[in-house]
Amino acid sequence: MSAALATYGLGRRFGSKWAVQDCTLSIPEGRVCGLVGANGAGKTTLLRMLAGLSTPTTGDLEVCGRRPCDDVAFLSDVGFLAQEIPLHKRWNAEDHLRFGAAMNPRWDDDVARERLTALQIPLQQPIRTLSGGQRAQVALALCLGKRPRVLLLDEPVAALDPLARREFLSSLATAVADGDLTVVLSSHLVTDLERICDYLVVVAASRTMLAADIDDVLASHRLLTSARRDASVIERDHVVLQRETTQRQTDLWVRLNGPVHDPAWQVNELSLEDIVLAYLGSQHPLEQKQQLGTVAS
Amino acid sequence: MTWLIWRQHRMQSAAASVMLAAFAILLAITGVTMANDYHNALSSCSQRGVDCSGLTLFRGDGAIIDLVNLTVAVPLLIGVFWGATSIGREYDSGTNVLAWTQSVSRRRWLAAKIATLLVTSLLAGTALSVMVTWWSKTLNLYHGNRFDPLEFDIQGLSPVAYTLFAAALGLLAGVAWRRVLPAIATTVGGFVAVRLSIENWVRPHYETAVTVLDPTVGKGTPNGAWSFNTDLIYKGQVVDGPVRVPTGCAGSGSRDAMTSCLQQHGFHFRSTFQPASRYWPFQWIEAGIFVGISAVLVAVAVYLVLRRDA
Repeated sequence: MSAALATYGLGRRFGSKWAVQDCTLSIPEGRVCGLVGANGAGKTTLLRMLAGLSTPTTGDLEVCGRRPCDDVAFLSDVGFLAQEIPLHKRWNAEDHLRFGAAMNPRWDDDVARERLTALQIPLQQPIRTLSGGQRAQVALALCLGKRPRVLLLDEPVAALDPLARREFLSSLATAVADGDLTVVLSSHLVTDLERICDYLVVVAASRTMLAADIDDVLASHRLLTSARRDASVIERDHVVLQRETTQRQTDLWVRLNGPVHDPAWQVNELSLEDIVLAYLGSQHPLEQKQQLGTVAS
Repeated sequence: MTWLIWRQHRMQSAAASVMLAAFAILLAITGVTMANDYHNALSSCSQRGVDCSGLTLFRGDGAIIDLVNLTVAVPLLIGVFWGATSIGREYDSGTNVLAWTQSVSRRRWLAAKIATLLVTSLLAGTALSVMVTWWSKTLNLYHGNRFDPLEFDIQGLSPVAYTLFAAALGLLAGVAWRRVLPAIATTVGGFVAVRLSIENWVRPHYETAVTVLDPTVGKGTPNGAWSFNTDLIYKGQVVDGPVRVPTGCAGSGSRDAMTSCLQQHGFHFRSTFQPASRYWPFQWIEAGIFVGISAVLVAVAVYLVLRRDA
């Protein structure tokens, strides 16, 4: 399985502040990847670097086997939908379809047009008169009509109401269900991603905390509960992401490296949201395992 | 790219064409009328054997003369409406990201945007300058002052170069600010500052001004020249303030007699000016300076767009 996207020690600094730091990850081809992180964690900067809109300060990256650059071969492989959903406000959807046709050699007019027709989006009405959900759909149709190999979506549903959010995600899911399109979709809400993603990347404090298959993530993370006791034995074999200790009880959010042998620990499954929250709350990325032993409660 | 350029610029091109056409019609009618009035007046006064220098003409055409003088602001309008919005509005609304994530390289997009801006500005500026220059022929003959700042600024090559400069300044301001409103403010401020500085402090020195002592013709400055000043000199010093006319000269009778009487007492007139023959060299120098500045501004804008993040 080859990687559609890969970054190696990628970093981007604005002034003295690192927006993305030491980011190494790879996303296999054909996956729908959720990129989760708190606001300001560097999701947008990471996606913009992948799209060639922002230049890395350090490190290297590859998208479809190419380093982002200003040429047609790279640009036609990558679709990007920015958070603000930029469209020409005075144009209508029809103009945007023509724009797509004029600007993209691989343009598939039927794909884009059928999507908008099926969603009953008026093609002749100025964009500024459309609802947020409809605008997002026009922008998505523009991205899909381009026939990219990698589609990068930066919080496309952040500004939408719950219904429009669900419609957008399900129409995206349908669009990517068949074909080998690789999608990276960022959000700060895990519930958005759970519906359509099969791969998860968690970033916090400008670093990558986790990058793995969602099934593996669910299988390998557990909540260990016990009467108050020392966790050092667990820490030796597994990675403790977060802990909560009360007078009577100890809770550990753990990434398992094998079975838990001590029957004193009660092992509970964790939801994806709980796992993500445990990572966002913890200070230590996956790679720096040796530091994890020093996690303070 | 062609489609995008056409779609983005069709409205403003149409509006500009309509305005230029309306202005052309207005100038064609009034220009021909003025030329006829002038020649009729000249021939009638010479037939009557009267001195033709005292003609009073075009008094009723004040409004149209003012309107033509106002075209001095047209380059600035082009800088504001075309230059500052050209790429500034793309940044402002985020549509630059939309354009740069299609399958057209940023360099090609930028080349098309800048070429469109500069070519349309150049066309509009040239069209306007040709009209105004043609229309002003009669007034130039009548007043003989096409070298005076306002006339110099709206005729010939200089308005074309100003238009280019305003467009380039607006372009760079839009790129630098990434927002339309501050870009417009910068364009207005920058344009006015540069234009006035060059007009007042640089243009008079393109060539060394000619100084004539005691010019024989009464007023001193030859027709069509750009006159700076005419000073009264006494013993090598410019006389400033009230002059005590030497006794004897006051009652000389004629003006010429009084002048020669004053000269005998050490008073002289000195006039400083750029002769009319330097009009075209000055136009070329002025245009060259503004084209040069424009080239630098465009180069900086290109650098910023290609080097900075979207």
